[in-house]
Amino acid sequence: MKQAPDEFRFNTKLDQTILLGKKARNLAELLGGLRTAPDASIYFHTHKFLQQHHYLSPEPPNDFGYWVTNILNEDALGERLSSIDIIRFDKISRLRNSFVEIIESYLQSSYRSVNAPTGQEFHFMSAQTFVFSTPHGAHDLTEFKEILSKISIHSLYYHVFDAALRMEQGENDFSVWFNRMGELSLADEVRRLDPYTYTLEGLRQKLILLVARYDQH
Amino acid sequence: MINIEDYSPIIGQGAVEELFLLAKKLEGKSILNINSTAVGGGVAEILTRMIPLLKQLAVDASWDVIKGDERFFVITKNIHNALHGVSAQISDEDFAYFLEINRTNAKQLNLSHDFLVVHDPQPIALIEKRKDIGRHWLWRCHIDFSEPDPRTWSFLKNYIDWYDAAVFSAPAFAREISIKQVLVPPSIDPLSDKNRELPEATIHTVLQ
Repeated sequence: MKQAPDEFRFNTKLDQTILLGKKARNLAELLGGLRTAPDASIYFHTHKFLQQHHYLSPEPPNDFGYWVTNILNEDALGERLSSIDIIRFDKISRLRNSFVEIIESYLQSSYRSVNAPTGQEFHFMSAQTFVFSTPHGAHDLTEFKEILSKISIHSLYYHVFDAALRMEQGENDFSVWFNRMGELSLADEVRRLDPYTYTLEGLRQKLILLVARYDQH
Repeated sequence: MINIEDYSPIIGQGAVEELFLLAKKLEGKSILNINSTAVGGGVAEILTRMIPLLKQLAVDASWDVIKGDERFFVITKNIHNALHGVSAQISDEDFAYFLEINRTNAKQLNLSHDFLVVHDPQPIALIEKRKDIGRHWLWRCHIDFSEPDPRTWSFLKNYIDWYDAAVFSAPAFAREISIKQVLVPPSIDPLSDKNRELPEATIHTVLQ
């Protein structure tokens, strides 16, 4: 059995939702907020569904598209915002620009100005992330698999989704470690895995199966 | 006796383990929760369950209650209603009496803890004590804050701004204030008597 040159220390993270005290009643105010909100707020409103509900509809939904469709009833625009492929963006600034450009373009060609009903305004939020080490460390694939089956989904999210934003070229913490221990094919398979097409529990099971296959070699 | 491990089948062992990791960060720190009633009402219900659970996580958490007379609680009821947007008659004398009771409690309470978590508007002015004793202060608002009566809001804001952070239950309650605002959504305790599954026979007996 291959031994890793170093231990894989499982971290986990917890997010505290921050209320920014800014709200939008209509598209113009949403656009203003999108331009000035901190990066963490853009990340929050595009990734919250995934983290909080652990499921995925056919397209990764985001708060902006949801609000425009369901509260302002601007279906066509809402569909365009909802269909932004958030995983395509490796920088939050580019993701933000994508939303801004679509709404700007829409406002230039639309004379409608709809206000959200009172109480259903868009509230800008963000999250403060606290990362901390768990007591779990793996030295080979067998240990890795066992730990993966019992860590929280927050830990899984940290090592796969958050890692993708920290790293480049589709890497995540798991694929980097597999690579270092010489499990190049496993690393490649994990790198090519599209995590957005799984629930978090589904992703856990998929990774366990993958690792189990290589662990038998 | 409620046990933190009883929640493992519901939220997962990993999540319970994370609670212990989080609690470890508070090692050596003490937390005092302060509200206005020991029984009855949502805050008392939360704290009755939460304090024993925090202690099992080895967090030095405790709970104390402010004292007030009938006039004080009539005023706090009016403040509560005003925050819901209901027009309420709160005179300058009422606000002054509200402060007087808060100041009396500030003298009587043991506020030597590292963190002071003040729940709802009734004890909000205890924060005046901060200028003498320092400490970390958190204001947790459990009530609807979306359309408050402007005069009542203006009065309370003088005190909210002194806290380190405010905790609200819904995004719509956030305000443009100078301190950090965080969201703690409402939750239920799946193991409390109120939420436990009832046998079919019991349900039928009650319905009949």
